[in-house]
Amino acid sequence: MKNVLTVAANTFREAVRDRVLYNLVFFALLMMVAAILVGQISIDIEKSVIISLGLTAISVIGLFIAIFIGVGLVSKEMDKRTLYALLAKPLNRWEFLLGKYFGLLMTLTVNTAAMALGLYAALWTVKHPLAAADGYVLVGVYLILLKLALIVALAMLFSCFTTPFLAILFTAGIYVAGVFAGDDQPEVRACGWQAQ
Amino acid sequence: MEHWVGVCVDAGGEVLKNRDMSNPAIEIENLTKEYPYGFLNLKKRLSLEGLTLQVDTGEVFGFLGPNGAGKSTTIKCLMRLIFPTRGTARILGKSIEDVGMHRDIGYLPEQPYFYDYLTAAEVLDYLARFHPMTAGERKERVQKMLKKVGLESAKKIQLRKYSKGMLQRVGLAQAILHHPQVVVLDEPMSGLDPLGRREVRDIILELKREGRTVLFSTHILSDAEMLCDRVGVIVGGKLRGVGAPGELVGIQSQGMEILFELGAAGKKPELLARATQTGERYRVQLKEEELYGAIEELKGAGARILSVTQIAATLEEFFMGLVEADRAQAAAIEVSGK
Repeated sequence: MKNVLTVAANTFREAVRDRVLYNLVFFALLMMVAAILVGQISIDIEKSVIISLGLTAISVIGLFIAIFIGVGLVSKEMDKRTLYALLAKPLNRWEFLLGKYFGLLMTLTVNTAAMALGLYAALWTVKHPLAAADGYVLVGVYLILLKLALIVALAMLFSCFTTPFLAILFTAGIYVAGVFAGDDQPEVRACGWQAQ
Repeated sequence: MEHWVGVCVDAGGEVLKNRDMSNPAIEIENLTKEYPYGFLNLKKRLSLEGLTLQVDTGEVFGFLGPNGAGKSTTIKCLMRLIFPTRGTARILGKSIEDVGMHRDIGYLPEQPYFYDYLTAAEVLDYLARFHPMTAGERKERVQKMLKKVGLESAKKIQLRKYSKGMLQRVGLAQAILHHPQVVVLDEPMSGLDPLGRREVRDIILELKREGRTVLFSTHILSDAEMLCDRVGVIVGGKLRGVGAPGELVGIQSQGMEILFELGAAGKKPELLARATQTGERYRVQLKEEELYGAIEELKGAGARILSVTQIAATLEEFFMGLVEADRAQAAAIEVSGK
């Protein structure tokens, strides 16, 4: 377990140093613009629009990170041969894979949590004080995180036996198929805002 | 399993007694690696063919061969980075399938590449975490290793700004950081300047003095001649010869060389016709049985003999002979196949 955590911590550090979390700036800007515009173009449904927009942005940004970085987690190590020095240590291959998986999951969790905070900030700007029912947004965020965890696993699975390009296509394909197979925005529905 | 007998002599001629031939550190048996290629991977290219080899505890073993001979394939099989098609290997008595064997092994990959977003100290610290040592011990060893490979002043620079030679040094440091019993180095001199090569040579000799086993691959023959107790020459995926560098080249025919100047009388010996002139001096190469006759002749002519030396075949000549024979064989097979 120690080995898994070591690899995970380094994967998180890699994401931070490769400026993956810079997407948060984009999200923050989006939320600020939305909070200003929504007040002008929507009447009484400001909260609903902000939540829908915010959760969609969290989901799409997370999706991009999960697919593109997830696919590169193992293939990049093989291409750059950074894997050689690592696998020559007393480290099982499954420990390496799990470590990479949990490392990206850690990155996505931090990223999603920061974006959720941004969403609440936008909500507060539009209408304050916040109501107790607004807490349900967290359920939506949690479901997005579960979805991303699944997508990272799929991206890693495909990247282990095919080219990065095909792995991206396969993962995105399964995601799209999954979206059309069932509820298109379970996280939004979970908040109960669409029903209102 | 065949047992090799060799003399342990270091570069300076000093006999090093720490080699234990009864207790092999690395045992390779019938190691074969085929790479599939072509449509549906139906064709197979043989990269390594039935390699059987033993490296004794405490010896420095050089693995020689031209590019594409199978040196790195062998090492990658040993490190379990790729899986052999057939055959087995053991390191320190443990099967290479046992991940635990890596606790006592250090490995420097060919053209090492590490996470370029980390500094040298961070890479070493990260890779050291897979070995059982306390945080304090880890920190101390990282500092020591950085000093040893000459990277102390660059330890806080991200590896993306490192030169090839500096990366090679990081690779070497991570390979020996945990004091392994067996050190496997794939082309350790590659990318290094003469000073760096000398430092690596010193580190290998230091490892030997500490009683560690070193297996390193190279195509720089002078390094092998200088460092190795024994060398194995691999050409075309097959092991063509194993032994002490001196033993291997000893099979080659030798000759003698006389360096002389003509006497004051200027009498010209018959030998002059075969000699090559450099300034006032003449150099003549002859067979060993001709030596005494030639000396008498030169004495008779009043010539001044400056030196008489034995022409020893170098490892390079032995190596080139094998490579050329292999190429000729491959060409013959190709022609007969047509």
